[in-house]
Amino acid sequence: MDSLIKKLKEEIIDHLNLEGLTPDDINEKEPLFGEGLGLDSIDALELILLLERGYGIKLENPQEGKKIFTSVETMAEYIRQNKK
Amino acid sequence: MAAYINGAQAISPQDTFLNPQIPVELKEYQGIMLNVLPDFKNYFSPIEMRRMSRIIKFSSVTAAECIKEANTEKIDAIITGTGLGCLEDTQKFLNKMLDNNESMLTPTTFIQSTHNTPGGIIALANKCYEYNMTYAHKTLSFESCLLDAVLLIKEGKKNILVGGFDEITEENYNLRKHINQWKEEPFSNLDIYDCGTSGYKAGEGSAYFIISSQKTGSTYAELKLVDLYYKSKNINSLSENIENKLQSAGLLLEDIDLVIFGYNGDSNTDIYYDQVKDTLFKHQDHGYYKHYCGEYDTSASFGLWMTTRIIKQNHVPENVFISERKKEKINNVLLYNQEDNKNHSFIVLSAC
Repeated sequence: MDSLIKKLKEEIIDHLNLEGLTPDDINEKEPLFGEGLGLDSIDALELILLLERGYGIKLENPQEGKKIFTSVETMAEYIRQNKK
Repeated sequence: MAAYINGAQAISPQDTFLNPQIPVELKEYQGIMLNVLPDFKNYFSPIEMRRMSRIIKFSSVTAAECIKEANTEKIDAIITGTGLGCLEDTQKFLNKMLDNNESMLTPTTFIQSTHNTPGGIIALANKCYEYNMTYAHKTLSFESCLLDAVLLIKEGKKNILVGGFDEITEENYNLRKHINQWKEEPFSNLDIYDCGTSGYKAGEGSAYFIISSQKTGSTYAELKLVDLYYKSKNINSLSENIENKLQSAGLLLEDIDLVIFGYNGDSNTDIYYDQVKDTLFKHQDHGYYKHYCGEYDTSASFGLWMTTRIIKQNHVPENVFISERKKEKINNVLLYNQEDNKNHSFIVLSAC
């Protein structure tokens, strides 16, 4: 598993307090919201703060959020392109 | 309008959860008395649990089982009481505020840290969008809920969920150690009565009740009296108050068969219980309960849970008694709790 993807999965489990889940339980291609992990709008705020605190990326355009947070894979891709 | 207790469940440092009886064997604690918890995975999915701290989980599960026990179709109100609320998450939230210099705070710890979070979660789980209130009145938090419930029953509500809950955390325990609130460790919870030293045992728990206007097959007892009394000038004024309030509930002192006191092992404040025990109720049976649950702001809710079992089964375990049992049948039990001669509460349950 890509080291960034593994780290992201661990951070998501930790930040969203997903007790009982391991990184292997999360499919990086599956949707984070609705289906897949079934996250909601409060989790979205947690993920925005995760990007800001962990990677120094401030989400300027909220419209981008939907695309960035589609899956763990899209999050990792966005981090690679924008990490400061 | 009479009020009945049709459901009563408690999670505590003893094996009380889903237990129809008061445990005879007591768990011994030399330090903090922490809850014996059920497996929460039987109640919540990992996704549901992600926004539930420990206290939210144990409080919600107690409420769920209480509603199930009472077999109530519709809950008309949810009233919760807590002294310190969701303490663990309040600490997390405040620590994050400090660590992050009051910026970039996450919403989850804030959501989890409020006193009324358990009340809200229970409402959502049961689709109960009616009256929902949380009282945070320190050691009278739970009793304030009961009073509110009685008033709502008088207004025509039928089934009300009432609960008291508090948790202890290591951080809070250590902070309060500095003001000598606790017993010096090691000190067994089995030794709190008449120990002659200051300080008390830290405990925690949650207890929920269904207060109803109708008696059913699952009824434990009638809730005959709930009374709060703030700062008694002396034993005479306290005695006068108790007598008057009992009278207003149609009872005389002699009608009380058993008094359960909130002795917590602090010799500085247990003397107030001694005064009431040795003057007003010297002819009654005497018991106590905080060696089961420790001391916390809503510990009277555990006392009430214990009283429901005593009344229903007409049985008092030996280790609840302070004195030898004198009465054959227990019809009326008075539960008396107080904090430092300030927050006095009296609850009377009657067999029905």
